[in-house]
Amino acid sequence: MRGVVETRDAVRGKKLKAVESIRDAIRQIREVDGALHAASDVFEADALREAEDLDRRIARGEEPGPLAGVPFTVKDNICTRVGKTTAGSKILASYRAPYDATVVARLRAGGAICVAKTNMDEFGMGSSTENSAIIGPTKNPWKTTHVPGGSSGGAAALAAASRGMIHLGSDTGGSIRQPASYCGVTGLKPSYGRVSRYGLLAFASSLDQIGMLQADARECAAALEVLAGKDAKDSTSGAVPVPRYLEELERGVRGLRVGVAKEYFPEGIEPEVAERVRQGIDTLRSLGVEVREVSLPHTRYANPTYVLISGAEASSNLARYDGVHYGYRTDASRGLIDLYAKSRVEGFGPEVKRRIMVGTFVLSAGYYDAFYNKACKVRKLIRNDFEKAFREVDAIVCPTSPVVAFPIGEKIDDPLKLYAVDVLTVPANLATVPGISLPCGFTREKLPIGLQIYGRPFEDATILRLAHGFQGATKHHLDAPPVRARSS
Amino acid sequence: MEVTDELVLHVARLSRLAISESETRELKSHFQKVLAFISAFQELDTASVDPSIFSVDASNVFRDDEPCPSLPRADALASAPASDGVYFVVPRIVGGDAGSAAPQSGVDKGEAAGRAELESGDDDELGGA
Repeated sequence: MRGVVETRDAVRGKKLKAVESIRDAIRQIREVDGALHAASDVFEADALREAEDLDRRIARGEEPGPLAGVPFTVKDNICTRVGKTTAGSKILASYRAPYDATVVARLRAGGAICVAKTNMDEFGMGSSTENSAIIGPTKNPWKTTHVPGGSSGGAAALAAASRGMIHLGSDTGGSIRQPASYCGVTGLKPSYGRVSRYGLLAFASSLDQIGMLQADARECAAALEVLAGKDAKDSTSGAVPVPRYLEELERGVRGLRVGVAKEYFPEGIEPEVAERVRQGIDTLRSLGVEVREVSLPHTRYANPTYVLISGAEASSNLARYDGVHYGYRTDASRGLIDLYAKSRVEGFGPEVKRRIMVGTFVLSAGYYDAFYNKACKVRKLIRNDFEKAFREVDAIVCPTSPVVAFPIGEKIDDPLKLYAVDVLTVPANLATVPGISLPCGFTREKLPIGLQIYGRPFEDATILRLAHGFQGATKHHLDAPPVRARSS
Repeated sequence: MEVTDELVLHVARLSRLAISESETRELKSHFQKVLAFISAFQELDTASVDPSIFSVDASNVFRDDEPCPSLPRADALASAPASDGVYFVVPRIVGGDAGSAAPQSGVDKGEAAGRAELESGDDDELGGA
């Protein structure tokens, strides 16, 4: 089956028509989506029209772009002109964005074609994709009674069950890497500022980052090459030169220094997860990577810090959903303030309300110093840990999640239990470092286990090289789940 | 610290969330759990640590002062729950009965359809640095 790079090469080399590539992508989605519930919308007519247009341009001899004819899907919190952008929320159930996010515009300018939007936890708040108010929970293709992880669960499930598409996701505390881990795919959260956030519905602006969920590190590199770079519309995007990530992969991993921290094998980690990740570290060692012990002593404070900072920023960012400018408005209100308060309470789901409330609380008079400001100070300590570790090593290797995919419904009634799942992914967002999750084996139940690699800010190429090296020596990423579209 | 109904309702008012009684109960219990969850870091001495609020060093990023197209008004209003084609329509907020129901269209643009930026006076105060 064709991957992203092969599709691009075939379309550019006129061996495959863009229309055939798109038709095949839509066939794959339709084939698996009854079982998975991963796509919130599919754009067959629009996508085929764009593909026909691309084929005509190729026939005329025009340059079709570095991702010519590659189908892509977009997490539903990223704005697209085509279809709706709901963020999985009732409050945006009928919202149509008037513009494309920069990431969507860049993929389209590169010749890629949007075929679907993918399901997610409302506003990215969740780790299981059970909190979608629009189409309900997404299923894990390895075991459909289990969650795919979240919040980019729709993207992760489709990435595992199909081939040859780019799946855009977003990651505020692990929302790309954790579902990638649970679905046995490769998920990259680039460095903060590496990819523009313009057009991403903001959850926590100092933590949010767009990335992708793919079959392997090579596909992540191909997509990042097009997505990365300064964007005038996002002043937090970095003016750092964009390497040729695909070429960087070929530099190999020999001599790279990788750190292993005991804090990333916490109490409560499933023994099979720890075991497979340690085997993965041995694999890296066998490839000539130098493995050293490092310490990140403030890791245990990362999750509480994340809960406070992300909540505070969410309470501010989600103030824009007011029943006035776009989205849901209540039928019955008395006056403007009542209109806001009723529209919001009726439009937001329970988890979103919890986070807004906690966030407002920690920013409110009398509590700001004890909670929000304290959390920002602890974030500084967490960043210091990484800076110190990265003076000794080029990357840090750890599990992505202390657990594997769990049954749908198991944790949904206890939000704190669900927050605990993020313990190994939130540090990357707090510290602005890039992180990638890749499959490193399975449990006896045949549920995927993810190995995570962290790198220095803007050294995304280093973790892609390590992931690519690992995937050259292992076959976990090639295993197909029981729910999988047929080869074309 | 003790989480009271009053605290939850105060925060709900600041959050512009008209929560129900059952939501108040649920959120009260959630606040208690969150406070326990974050209690670990209260033990950390951070007196000499500078808070890290932002994720980039840049401040005051300006663009060149060049005219460029902005979002057309029709596009900006397209997803509004109520508009008169020129303004977002909201309930009367000045000069009249603030308790009256929202007009569904701009019958009297000058008064009934206030601009959305305007907000009635409210003495809520958010804390902050």
